[in-house]
Amino acid sequence: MKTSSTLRWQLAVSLLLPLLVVLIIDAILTYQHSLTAANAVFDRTLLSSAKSIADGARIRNGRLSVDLPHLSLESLEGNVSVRVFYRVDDAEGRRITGYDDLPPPQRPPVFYRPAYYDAEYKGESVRMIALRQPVHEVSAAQTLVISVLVGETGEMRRAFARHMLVKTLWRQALLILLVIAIVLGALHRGLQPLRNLSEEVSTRREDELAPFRAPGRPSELQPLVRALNQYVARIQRMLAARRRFFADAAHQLKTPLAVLRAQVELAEREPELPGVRQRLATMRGSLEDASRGVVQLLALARLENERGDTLPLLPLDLASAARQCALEWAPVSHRQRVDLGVQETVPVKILGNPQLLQELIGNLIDNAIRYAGAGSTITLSTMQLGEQAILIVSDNGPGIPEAERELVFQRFHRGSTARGEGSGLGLAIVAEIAARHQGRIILDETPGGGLTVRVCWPALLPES
Amino acid sequence: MRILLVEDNPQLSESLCTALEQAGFAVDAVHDGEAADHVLHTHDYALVVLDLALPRLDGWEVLKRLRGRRARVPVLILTAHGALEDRVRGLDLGADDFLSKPFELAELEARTRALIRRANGLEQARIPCGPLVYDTVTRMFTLHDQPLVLTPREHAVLEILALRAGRAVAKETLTDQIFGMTESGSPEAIEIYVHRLRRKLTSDDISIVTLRGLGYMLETRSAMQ
Repeated sequence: MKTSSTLRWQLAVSLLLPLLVVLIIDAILTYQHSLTAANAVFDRTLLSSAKSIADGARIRNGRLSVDLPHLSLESLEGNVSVRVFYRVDDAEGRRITGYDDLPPPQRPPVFYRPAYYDAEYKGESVRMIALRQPVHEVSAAQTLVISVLVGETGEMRRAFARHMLVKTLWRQALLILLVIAIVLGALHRGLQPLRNLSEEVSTRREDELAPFRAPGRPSELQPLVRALNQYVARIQRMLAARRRFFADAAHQLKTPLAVLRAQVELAEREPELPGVRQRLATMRGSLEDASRGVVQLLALARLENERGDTLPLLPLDLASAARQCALEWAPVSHRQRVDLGVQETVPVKILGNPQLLQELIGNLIDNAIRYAGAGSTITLSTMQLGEQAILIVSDNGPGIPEAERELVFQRFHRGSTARGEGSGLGLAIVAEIAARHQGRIILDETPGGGLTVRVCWPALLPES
Repeated sequence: MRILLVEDNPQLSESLCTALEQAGFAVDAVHDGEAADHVLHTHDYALVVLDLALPRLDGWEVLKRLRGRRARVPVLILTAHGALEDRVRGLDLGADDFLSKPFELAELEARTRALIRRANGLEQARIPCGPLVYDTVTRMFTLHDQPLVLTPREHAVLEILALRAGRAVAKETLTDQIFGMTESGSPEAIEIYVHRLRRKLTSDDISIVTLRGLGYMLETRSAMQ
């Protein structure tokens, strides 16, 4: 999930950043536009103020006077933050009333046509209007020209523009969120085939090496499916090569060993040269060890190689398997002067592979015979404890010190108490087979000395 | 007793011939599958010792053709692989026993004897177990050439043990075979027969070994060494 959330995050970031830039540009443009719009609105008010001031101009006794229409000015001053400044001049530019330092426009405006301009007044930027128009005194048939300047500070305009901007921004933010949500949703849907494929890969059984099917998947996934299938094919080839190797190794090693053993045994039967027979006996001992090592090594390698293969498991009786195996090993143990026996057992059902189980029990017996040594006693027993089927092989040999009990499952590890020859592979094979049967092995000390090996499996309960 | 040995490795073939001849068998050796198939068409053998990895025609095919002709000769397979599938496949094809390389000659000889005995039932005239000899025609046991006087039940027990000399026989097997399907015999009864047999087998070269919790084994001097 980590990767997909990263992908989502990356996409969100790569979408958000450009969108943010777009938003900023748009905000600037919007602000400017709002300001223009605000100016259009407020300029009209400014014009009407200027006009009403101009309308209040009279000629009395040949002189201009202005009755200020307070209402029109106040209407602007209704907003506390906005300040309005005005000035009325005569044609010569002499002040009639108002703020005398209010800046005039750069060029005197055309009659009746108001001129708008921005200026600086008392340290503040103000929006100004200049209106130039004649004032008639009908009775005296006199016409004089006045120019009216009205200025106001820009707070309201800016507030208006800001207000417009904020509204627009909110709308756009909402839009962006919607866009991201839609994109993420589409992405989620679009990545579904990829998730399906991952699911398929991860839920595969260990031994399932069939190619992944390509049809029905989006074309973007086809290269991945092809790559996966190439990989699967490579694993198959590797497994096949290994299987061939084991077969070849078995043949190449075991046949010469068989020849050697047969030759040595035949030579031992020759009655002459007792000194040579002594050497032959030693040779045969080494040969037996070599043979056993090769056989066990190949068995273990095969078991490990086939770990993924499905094992045909049958319901079988652990007790009779143990008995069967003990019967097979009885002549060997007897020759080694080891008392191999079976304790009274009750049937215990487990799911298992008969041949592998025989190999497991055989290895435990073989181990016990080797390490407990002549004169020792080995006892096999089976029992069922709750849902556990347990096979116990105990001997009264030297045992294994507690510190070494984990190590003995490693290949080629031989206990410090081990006597005689051994390959150190027996328990590794036992562990491998037990693991393939969902079993586990516990090494313990036999009361009174010796090693007790317990192998526990889930018991096959009747009608469960 | 003529045995056909099919083994392509010349040294192994030679050693096995020597060993089997020493054990009292007559041995014909061939070195490839086709020769084996050909010889098996025309000759009768008491046993075929068959290697699997053979040139020209592999052991599987030889076995398949042999059983295809409904020949009942026992077949002991020599295999280098010893893989479980091989055993299952071999048994399905009609092999009688397996021996994984490398093996002990004694093991080969024991299995050879056992297979021939089993195949011939009691037709083989004299079965020697050290100083004890069982004549299957007269159904008489002799120990050091002296007739052994046995009750029918003792005779039955000793017969089973002698036919599997050197191998462990489960107590249940004895009980089943002695008392048959209808009779209900107790394992304790078997113990009594074995006890009596031990008293009658008054030779140091042969003994009935008790395998704790398992059964019994007839052991001869040669195997004790």
